[in-house]
Amino acid sequence: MAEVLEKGHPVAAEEDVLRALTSDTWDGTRFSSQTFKGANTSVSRLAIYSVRQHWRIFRRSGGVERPPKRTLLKIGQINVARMADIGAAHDVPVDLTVESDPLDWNDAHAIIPQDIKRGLANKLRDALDIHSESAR
Amino acid sequence: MSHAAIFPSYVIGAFEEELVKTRPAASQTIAGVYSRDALRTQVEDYYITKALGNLGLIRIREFQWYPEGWGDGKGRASSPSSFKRMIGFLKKFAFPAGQNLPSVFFTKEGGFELEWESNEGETVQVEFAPDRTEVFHEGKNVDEILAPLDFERLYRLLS
Repeated sequence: MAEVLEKGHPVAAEEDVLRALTSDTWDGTRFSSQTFKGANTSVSRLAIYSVRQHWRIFRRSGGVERPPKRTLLKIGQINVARMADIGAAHDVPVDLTVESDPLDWNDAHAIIPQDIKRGLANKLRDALDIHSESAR
Repeated sequence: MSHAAIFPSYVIGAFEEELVKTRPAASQTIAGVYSRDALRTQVEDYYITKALGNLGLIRIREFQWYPEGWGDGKGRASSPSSFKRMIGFLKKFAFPAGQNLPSVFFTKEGGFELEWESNEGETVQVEFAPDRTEVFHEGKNVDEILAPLDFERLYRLLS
């Protein structure tokens, strides 16, 4: 297990991060651009906890899931360097980074601070490797 | 007796008039039982289901129950403006035939986002945010932010 980084510390390019995919952004067919659109997008560091552990963390009280209104359905995974490459190759290049942002309920929590527009958000969404609960 | 006689327009409004035109039998059945709000909901459900299927209807009605602060604490409750504009769009817009039904998503601002594929299989998205409409068409290289009621330009960009 990697160390928990201080808030604001850059997450290394070789790390992978996870994004919780919930019922508001996935309908069984498509993922919404909202998965990455906007600033300070929450992700979580795979170097700290496994995918299996993340299912439990995301479901903790105060975490991602707020049943019955919002449920965790999938987990997306992307490499930090891959994400930066996608940002750099976009029509309007964006220097995408990931910064550590530990929370009470998840010390692996991190954020993508940049304000990501729709076109780039779609590309990041399409680059996710998807984990299903049945495979955890 | 004509439908107009049963449902005077000052009582039932434009949505209900549409129901009378599209589903006269249903409107007769529910006329004496349901309130104006229930009748409007029936009409909304009809247009949502027609465009997005039962899953779309279930999702939208669920999103309307999301409370203030959903998600990470900053999620906004459903915006009436966003919802109304989306219904207006669903009533008029002809989605491509032969493709998967459009998807509907909820945004942190309390808006609604529709996504579907064009006849060429390219991604198309329209987001009804509370204060604007965003339109994205992959094939036409369109990525614009419109005034909330600028339907004319919205339809032109999608045509």
